[in-house]
Amino acid sequence: MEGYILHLFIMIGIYIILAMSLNLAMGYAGLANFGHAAFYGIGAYSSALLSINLGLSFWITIFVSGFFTCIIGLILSLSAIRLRGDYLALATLGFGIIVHNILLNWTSLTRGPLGIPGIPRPVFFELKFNSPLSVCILVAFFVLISYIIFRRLLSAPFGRILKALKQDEIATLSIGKNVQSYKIVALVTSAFFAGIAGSLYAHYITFIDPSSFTIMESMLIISMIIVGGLGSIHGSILGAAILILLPEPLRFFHFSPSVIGALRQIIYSVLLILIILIRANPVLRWRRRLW
Amino acid sequence: MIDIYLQLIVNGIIIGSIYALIASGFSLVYNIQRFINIAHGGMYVVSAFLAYYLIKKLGFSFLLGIPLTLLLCPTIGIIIDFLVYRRLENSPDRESILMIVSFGVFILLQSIVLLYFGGDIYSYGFPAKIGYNLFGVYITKIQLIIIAVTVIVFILLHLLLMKTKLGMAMRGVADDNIIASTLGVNVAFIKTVTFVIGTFLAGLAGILISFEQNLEYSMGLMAVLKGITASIIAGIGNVPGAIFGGLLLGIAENIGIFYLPSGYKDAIAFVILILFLFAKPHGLFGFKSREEIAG
Repeated sequence: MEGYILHLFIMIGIYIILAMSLNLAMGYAGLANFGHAAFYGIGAYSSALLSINLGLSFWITIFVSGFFTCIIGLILSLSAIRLRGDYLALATLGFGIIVHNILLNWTSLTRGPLGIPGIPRPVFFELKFNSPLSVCILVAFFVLISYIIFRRLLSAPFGRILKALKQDEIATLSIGKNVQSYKIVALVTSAFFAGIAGSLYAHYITFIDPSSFTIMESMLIISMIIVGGLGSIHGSILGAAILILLPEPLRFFHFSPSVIGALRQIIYSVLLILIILIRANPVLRWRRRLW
Repeated sequence: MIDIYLQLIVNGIIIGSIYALIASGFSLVYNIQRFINIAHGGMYVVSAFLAYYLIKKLGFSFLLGIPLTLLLCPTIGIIIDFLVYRRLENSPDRESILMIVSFGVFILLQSIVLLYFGGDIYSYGFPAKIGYNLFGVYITKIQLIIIAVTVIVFILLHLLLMKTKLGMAMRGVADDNIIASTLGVNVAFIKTVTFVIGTFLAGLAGILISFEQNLEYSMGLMAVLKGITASIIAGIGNVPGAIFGGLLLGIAENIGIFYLPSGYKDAIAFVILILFLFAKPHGLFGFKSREEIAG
């Protein structure tokens, strides 16, 4: 039971990092990214492959994979500066599908649907992070660092400029801000943290396969930031926690796997739709402004 | 060598017809709703499974089951439209919010299908026979039916849009609904009619494909995304172009997997999508949209 609760905390922690990173790009900079799970997956796979094939320690692989994900993010940001709104959403969606497809089909590298087993748990000077509690503390550490970094970034002028360019890009350009580079930095940073989250996931679960990095996964993360509130770091934390915890009671009903999976998706989608509808309701919006 | 290419092209036309149905329905609806409605794919899946349920489980005949499904699906679509989309019409960031919500609706529809039918693959179980040999190309009876139905539907669609008053009203509302209303067009009614037709097209595509390929709860997402890709190839909102785009996409896919490992089939469509979004976002037939696409 204790292991189960710790597992939940760990997954919430990983998704908090994912949600915060997506919120930076979507909520603050206003860049629709429907393929965020691709960054998550690239981080996980690169970290796993580096540690298994090259025997590098977790502490190296997590940052190398983070930076590798950044590079991919840089490529994606080319589309972020050229496309707007719906079209960017579609391009990122396509990107997410292409990455998933590659993970599935480039079997010589990724072993395709068989996945990569045997990813080592992190080791810190002879201390192996074997127990759930130790991993939980590790993840909490990374969540804390990420949170501090995001808070710093977003309360600094960087954050305000992102908000400005989301609201009115032309106005932001007119005060001399290089909107393009801000967008690129936002997306690349977002990719970095998603890659970190992927690495944490890989070294925790010790097995990864492409099915964890589908477009549905991207939609899950989008749902988290919408439920929590776009443009709110604390909202991302709340959203991640809610969407991870809400379907958990289903586990105790002993349904078959496809039924649990279906009910879980139903919960997510209904929650997403309801939150969007409620937020759009002008009466409720007015009440929310009071606090 | 030529006959291999010919076969690939014919296969491409068959699946391309399905994409064309989805794409034209999507473009039709996009013209009035002006957002990327992912739930269009939900209609595709729901219709396929509903038809299967009626025909296989409840024993309806094809002649009864199919039209019934095609009547029920737009109804479901309209209900969703009223419950969800209409309420978000005036929200800030309308495009993105509607796309996200439509994705939510799609996942909901797909999950309901999953809940009810499970993850199994369903099949009508038509006997597998080798197809007719036409000019060196093999084509089965079902495939011929798909092409025939698609051609008939598109002829009817063309006649509707171009030769009838209703069609003229639909085109008018798509172009500029304010001016259309000043000319006496009941815009709300036309919007609903367009939505019904668009959903009908998606539903028809779902039913047709389920004869040829088997039914699976997850079939909707790729289908709708490829339909969207086909629409963008032609220029989003361009209905006749969408037909061409669908066929083109189908052919490109089939030729593509001749050279690439077949697992990459889906990726082909999205590479094409991204290429078009970058190079020719207005599509091949440059349908003028009022908003800028590139920043």
